[in-house]
Amino acid sequence: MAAESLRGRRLWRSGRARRMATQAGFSVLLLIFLAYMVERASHLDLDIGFMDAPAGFQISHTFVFGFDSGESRLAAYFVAVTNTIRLVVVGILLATVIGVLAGVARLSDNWLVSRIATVYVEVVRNTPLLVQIIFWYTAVFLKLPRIEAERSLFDVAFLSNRALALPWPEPRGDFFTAWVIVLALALVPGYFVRRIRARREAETGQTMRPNLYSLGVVLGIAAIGFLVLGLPVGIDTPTIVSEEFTKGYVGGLSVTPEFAALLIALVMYTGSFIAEIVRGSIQALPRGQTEAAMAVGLTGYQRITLVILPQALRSMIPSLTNEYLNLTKNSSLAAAIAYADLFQISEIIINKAGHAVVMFIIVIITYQVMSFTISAFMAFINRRVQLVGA
Amino acid sequence: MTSQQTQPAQGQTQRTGRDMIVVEGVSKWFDDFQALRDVTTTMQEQEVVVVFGPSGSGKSTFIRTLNRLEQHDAGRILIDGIELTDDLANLEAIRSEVGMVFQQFNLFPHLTVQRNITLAPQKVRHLPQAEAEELAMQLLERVGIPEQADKFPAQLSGGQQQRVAIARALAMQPKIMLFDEPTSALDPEMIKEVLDVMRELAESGMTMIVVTHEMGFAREVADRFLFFDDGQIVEEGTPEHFFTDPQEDRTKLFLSQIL
Amino acid sequence: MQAQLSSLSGPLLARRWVQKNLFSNRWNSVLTVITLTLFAVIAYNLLRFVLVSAEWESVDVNRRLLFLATYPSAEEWRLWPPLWLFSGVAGLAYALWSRVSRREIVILGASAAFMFLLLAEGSNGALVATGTLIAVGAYAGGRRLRETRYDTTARRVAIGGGVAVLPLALILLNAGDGVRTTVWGGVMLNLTLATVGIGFGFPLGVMLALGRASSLPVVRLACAGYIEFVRAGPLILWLAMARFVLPDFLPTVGGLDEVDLVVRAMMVMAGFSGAYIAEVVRGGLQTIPRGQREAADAMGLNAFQTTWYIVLPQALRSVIPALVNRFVSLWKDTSLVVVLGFVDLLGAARAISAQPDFVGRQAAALLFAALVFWTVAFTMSRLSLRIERHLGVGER
Repeated sequence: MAAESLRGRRLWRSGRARRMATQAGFSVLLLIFLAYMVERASHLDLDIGFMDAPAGFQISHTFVFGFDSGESRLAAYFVAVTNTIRLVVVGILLATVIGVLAGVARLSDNWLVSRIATVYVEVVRNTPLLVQIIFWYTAVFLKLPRIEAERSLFDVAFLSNRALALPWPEPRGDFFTAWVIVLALALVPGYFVRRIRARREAETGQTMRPNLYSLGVVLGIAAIGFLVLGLPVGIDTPTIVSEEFTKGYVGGLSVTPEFAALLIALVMYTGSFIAEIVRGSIQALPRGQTEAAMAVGLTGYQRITLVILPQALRSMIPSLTNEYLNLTKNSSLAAAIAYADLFQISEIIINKAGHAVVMFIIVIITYQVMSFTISAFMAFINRRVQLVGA
Repeated sequence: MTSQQTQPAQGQTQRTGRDMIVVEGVSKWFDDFQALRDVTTTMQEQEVVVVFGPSGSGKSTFIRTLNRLEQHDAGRILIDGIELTDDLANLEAIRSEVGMVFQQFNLFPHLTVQRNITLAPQKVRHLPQAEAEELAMQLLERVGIPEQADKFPAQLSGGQQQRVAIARALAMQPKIMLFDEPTSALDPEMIKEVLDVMRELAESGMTMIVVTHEMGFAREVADRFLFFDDGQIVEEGTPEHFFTDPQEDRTKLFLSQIL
Repeated sequence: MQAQLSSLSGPLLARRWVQKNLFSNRWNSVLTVITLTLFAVIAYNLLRFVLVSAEWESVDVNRRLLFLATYPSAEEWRLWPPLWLFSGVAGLAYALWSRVSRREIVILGASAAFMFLLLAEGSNGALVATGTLIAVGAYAGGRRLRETRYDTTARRVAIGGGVAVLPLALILLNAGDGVRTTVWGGVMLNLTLATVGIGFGFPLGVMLALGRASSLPVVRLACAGYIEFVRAGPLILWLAMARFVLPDFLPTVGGLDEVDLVVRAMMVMAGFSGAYIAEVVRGGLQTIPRGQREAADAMGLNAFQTTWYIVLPQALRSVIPALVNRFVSLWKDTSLVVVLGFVDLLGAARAISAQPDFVGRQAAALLFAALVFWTVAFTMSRLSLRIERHLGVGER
């Protein structure tokens, strides 16, 4: 009896035994919790078959793929995913441009420029994105004139609360593919011109402008091919068509007010965060870099593009990736103004068919796949940049 | 060299002869690398032992196993009769009997000097705050910086920080003090102030194990030297033995490099 | 140079300044002209909107809607004590921890008070004014106590008061007959959601971060799994879950299965911000050198004591700006509850456009809502920049 209690105490006093006991206890609690969740879930219908049923609703925004209410819910979800991807890809590109410009502008020695950039960042960053989306949508885009009283620019671009319609290039004739091939082939001489001139510049020290010349060669060949092949690309201008009940635009690129509002809000919002990242990483560079660049006589523009940004970019990539992932997740706010992104469509499906758990699992997986793709792409860029720097 | 006025090897005359630390066949691996190879030695109460050797020789690992900052994989370590095992109660007893001073001081930067010293006595020994503060002031007096009690570590010089670290270790009223290269991170002009405190401590009869390359100080204070290389005790003996008649080639080579 | 400049007369000085800061070279001049044009266009339109076309009347007559929405007037007394406590704590905390210049504090304090005065009507104005006075008084008091021997006590009072705000509010709201959460709304709802999100999300986040840094594999995996799972989806998705899915998973005991949507939204807010706060805290934990733990171990502190007295204080202090950024995000995110059909500040602003008098005219109300969100968020982020990160003393 005494020996037993002693052994019991020994065991309790042993560090390893305590760790094991803690883990075991924690595991038991965790298992109970998971078992409870599974038990609860088992009452639900987890069959995925409902996605095959006809959707029974229209999708107001489609982009590459059309959609008809007779198609399956899965097809609807797929269209919604393409809508989200469109928003995210364009959004990331534009937000990066805005962010880098604003970040550099905040550090400009031009007082006005840096002040305006600061105001932009501080105002936009500290206001909820959803408020901004709704503001752009209801107070700007829906306030545009109705389609009958639209504002037009020389009758080729139109602005109304129905859509933003812009002229857009469009393949014409039979030689479009041929021209694309010519364009691709033009890159070869372009590359050699650049290499030769760059080498001569390095050897002789004369300014040979390798980038400018190589661009000239490529554009020249492309222009000749364009003429020879009989203008394979034309500009398609939008026109208004009136049908019995609806009016709309045909041709060109037409962007819905929902998409435009979302894109602007997402771009401005994410751009303000990117601006802070850009500013932070530039300021984190040793002062010696700017001073050295000044000392060798580089101009302000050269200092930024040749010395500062390439270095800052390297330290920026992880935070930049984070902002891209945030933009991706934030794109789900599209649902608030009924842009048919994947979240809005999944909510519609849930309202029509139930199966919330399954639907949400699909949504989470979709976001996770998108996040993973972005992270992987950024990791690839990161490796490239680090290699060049090493 | 610093002054040789004090009696050399003073500890020897007062020693009680009780075994304070017994190390038997201790080995330690870091993955594939064997940091300690079958180390066996005994240290008596009030003894001052200086451990030295080339970097990577295992001397730091050795003294860190003595209060179980590193766990030994084989062999036995007895501190004042208590064996170091996985037993948490034993560990608690040993931790409060063995004080440690680190190369990098490891003071807590968010606490004042006084709070650095009173924290463990209050939380581990459950001393009332007033008593703990009284004790802290006594110890700061002893290490010569009572006026710094309310400052934060970052406001002190390296030498002052290390003296606070010694006071902090003493606050638990340990029977043994371990010093892991206490002066290596200090600027030369600050080394003496720390060594003076350690010398005073040795003279007061504290059992001390010191990893150091300050051979002048070591010769003056130590009862015994341990020379470590390749995870083993290569040679041990009195300071005089090392300075006049080292036996092993490795010892001779190393001493010729650092002296 | 400075002396030279100051010896010049006023107009000449201004000219110098303009030349140096706006037209230092050709490129800069072009830039100035372009920005000036852009600025003029935006400013013109904004001013025209604010002064001419915005219907501020829609905000004016709907102040109560924006402030409290459907919350019953008879129960308003329950709101003021926690708000006053919060004002006092805010003033004290500002005085003790931040290094905000006097100019800045006047601007921030005035705009915050202005915001509430705008929202409050009738007798509420006096109550808001009381809150403002408490804040100013606490600030003045804190200023005086700072770095005296009462400094630590004052800091403890501030922390204690801050911790007490949430329990006080919850007790008052539920005392007696209580106020059903379904009638909560307006800015009050946003404030409550944010406070609950921070109040429960912060401890949760700290625990998750410690769990993720634990040496026990099961704990580590479970915490990491939770954090990554929550971060995988957008908040709006988790809020939708609170509506569609959570009822199926809540236990049926103690009436938990029928908790209303507001409480479910609060649970989601806390759980969501917990995952993000955990990641911030984890960053702080990683900055603690190994030697700190070793020293604590060597002194005989146990694992809990080491974490509580040594690791956490340092880890949290090193991530204060990032933490406050999370709080700012959470504050902005409270606007997402409109997707659940709540009438929070944004919901109220939107609802105005449905009123017969203001059909389709919600721009003014939206702008006003944006201003309220912005003032609080900007104040918080400014504060985080000025907080003493390393207890100040060493680096002053």
